Amino acid sequence: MTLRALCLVSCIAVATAAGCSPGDTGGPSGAGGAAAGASGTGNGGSGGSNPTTGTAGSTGGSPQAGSGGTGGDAATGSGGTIGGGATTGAGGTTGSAGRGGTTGSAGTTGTAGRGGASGTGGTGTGTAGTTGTAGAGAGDDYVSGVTVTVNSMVNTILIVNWTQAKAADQVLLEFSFAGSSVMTSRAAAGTAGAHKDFVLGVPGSTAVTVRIVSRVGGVDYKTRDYMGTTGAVPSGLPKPTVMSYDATLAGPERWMLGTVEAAGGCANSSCYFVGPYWVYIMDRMGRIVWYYSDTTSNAATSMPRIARDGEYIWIDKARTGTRSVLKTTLDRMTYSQTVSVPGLGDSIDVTTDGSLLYDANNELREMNKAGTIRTVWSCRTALGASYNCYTNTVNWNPADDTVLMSFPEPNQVRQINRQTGAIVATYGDGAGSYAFSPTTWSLEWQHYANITPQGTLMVSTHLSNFPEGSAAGANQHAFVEFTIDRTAMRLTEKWSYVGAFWPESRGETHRQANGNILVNYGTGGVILELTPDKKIAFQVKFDNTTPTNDFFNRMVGHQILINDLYALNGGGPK
Amino acid sequence: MRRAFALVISLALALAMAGGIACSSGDSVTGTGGSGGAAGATAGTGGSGGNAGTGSGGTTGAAGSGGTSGGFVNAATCGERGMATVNATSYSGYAEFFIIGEAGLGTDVCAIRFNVARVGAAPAGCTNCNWSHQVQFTNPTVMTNVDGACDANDAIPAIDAAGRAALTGSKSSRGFSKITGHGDELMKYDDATQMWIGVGRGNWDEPTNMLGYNITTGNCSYGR
Repeated sequence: MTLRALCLVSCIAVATAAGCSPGDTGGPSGAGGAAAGASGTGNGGSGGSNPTTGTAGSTGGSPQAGSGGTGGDAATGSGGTIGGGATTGAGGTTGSAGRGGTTGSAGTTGTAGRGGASGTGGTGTGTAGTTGTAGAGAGDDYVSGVTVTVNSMVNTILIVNWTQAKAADQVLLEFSFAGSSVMTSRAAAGTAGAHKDFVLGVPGSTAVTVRIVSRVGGVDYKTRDYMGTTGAVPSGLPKPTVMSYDATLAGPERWMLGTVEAAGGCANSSCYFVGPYWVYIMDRMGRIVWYYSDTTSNAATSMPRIARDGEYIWIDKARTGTRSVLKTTLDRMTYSQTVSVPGLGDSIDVTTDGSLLYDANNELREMNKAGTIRTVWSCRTALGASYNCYTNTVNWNPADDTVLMSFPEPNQVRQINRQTGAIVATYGDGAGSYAFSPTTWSLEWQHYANITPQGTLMVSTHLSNFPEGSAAGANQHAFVEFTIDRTAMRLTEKWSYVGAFWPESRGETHRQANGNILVNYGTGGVILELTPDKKIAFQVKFDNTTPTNDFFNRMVGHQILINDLYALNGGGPK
Repeated sequence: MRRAFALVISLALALAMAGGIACSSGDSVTGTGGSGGAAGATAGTGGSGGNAGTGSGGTTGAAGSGGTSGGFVNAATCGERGMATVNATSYSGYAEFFIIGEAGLGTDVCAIRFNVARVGAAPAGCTNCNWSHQVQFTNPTVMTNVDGACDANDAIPAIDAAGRAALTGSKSSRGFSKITGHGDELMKYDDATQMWIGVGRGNWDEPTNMLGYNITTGNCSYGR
């Protein structure tokens, strides 16, 4: 049997819950104790073996795979009584020992298996390495009073409370659900006493297996499995449909934060901008893993932002009623603050110093972290009484501390110095605006102009012959990126995408860190992640349940791809 | 002594406030606690409900017991939405009073639709309004009624059978203020204050004269 085959056997043993498979595979440099208490210094404890299907240690580790001992999940097996060590191999350095079965208890006579201190794993016959994980259930000594409950404010979040009976260097959650990989929360200080952590990233109505990991001296001591089930996603939240997803083309981000309006049903603007609005996080399968909606407010919410001065999000409540922003962590418990923002219009952005930039009463305003408001720039003062000062965009460019505002009625974008309020540049129609190259380009009912980290200008715009009020149709709209020649005052097309969808209103385009472009079609209800060569890597549609015209669906707002949900749940402003 | 008396008064007030205005009846200095208040108006808030009695509170009386449980058990949000074809001289469409279950995060459990049409000129004073009209509600139709929610709720205005009857034929005034951009406020004329007020989100599509609006009036409850 080759080493690879040996590994396969181990994997199968794990997948089939084949009892306390000991350190399944050893890494080349030696790993932690095999699942069932590898042949390190500890025996037993890893337990969870199913005596009918597996013998502790018999599957031994492959020194090449280095994933020592994940152990069996014997659902009914009792804990191994003596937790035998691996007979033919030991875990590698990166291997983790097996864990107990869901109902199995740790070995009654064996101590918790842990990585052998003197292990020399990686040789094929080596013993356990030095960084292995303790045997299954070994963490139970560290933890007591574990409860798993549903967060009443966000049903898709589980709250795990426990008492850290024995201090550890760090503690964290390890969790998974059907079809998922094993995910973890952020490690926190493992001081003795009460602890609380959150399970994030799980769809609604989903059973979750949770273990608490106490990390001591580089060894992970995991508890037995605890179970919880997320609550149902509210039925009022529009359901997204993933039309396509190609992981080889898409960026690495696993989730997307965005907004959608649960309205629509007509083929004109009258059934949009009336709400209610939802903020959501979906995974790449279109499953909602987080949501928010203020059902008692008549405000509009469509421009969530990720804080730059902490690990939380901003949610705008604009247009009508009591206007405000909600600053909150995903759990809505660690940090949550509502800040009144008089006059708040359609758009917000946030800065690294915790300020809020927003449009209100024909002005660009800034509210700093202390709540002091100043007018950065007055559209009415600068451009006169006849100018239509409605803006659909406030986008801060950290590189030069300017703010872009998009005025769709006059087809203009203004770039404004945040400190002085001076207009740095004007793009679009009118005298003094930058020229386009090629000259066939123009801005028309444009939305969400932004400056990329590379210094280019990106914007969602109707094409020249299709202004506001045009009949819906394909190939009438573009997401376009221009290089900016500030000396020659010229915008030169760098990239553009003319597609089969149509935003009667709204629309966004963002360049991602990996070069992909994330766009949406606003009232068209379609979100695309495009590659630079215009392949569709990810396509989501918020369809309208009242079919009228497929160019009109649920209106989507600002969206952001996310790779770490815990980075939105760390805490408030710093 | 005066300080002690004030303290007692403060305590009584605090108890009254904490208990949802537990009404201590009686006016003797050793008065017993007041009887419980009236049933809570909303579901699941039993104990906090209860209105102040008419008697003055005993200075040392204990807080009264809470009221009995209110009648409706399911949290919801209520409001009015509608669509109409509107211009400066006409208004024709519908209004739909709704109850959304799951504390407002769900779907309709009740929707009552009325025809709405202009019957006259609205009062002056709808500043910055594109149009304003006096309209009349007619022909109530139950569009959705899950488990009898339409007839067991505390929505305002009332939309149970009696409420629907009261709304039928009623007249009110409304306008639309489209000050900036797409989508602004539906305005209503408040007869009590004789003022125009913005009541919620709306959008009037000028090319088609189509109006859509959606006004959440707040939390409510339904079902027993």
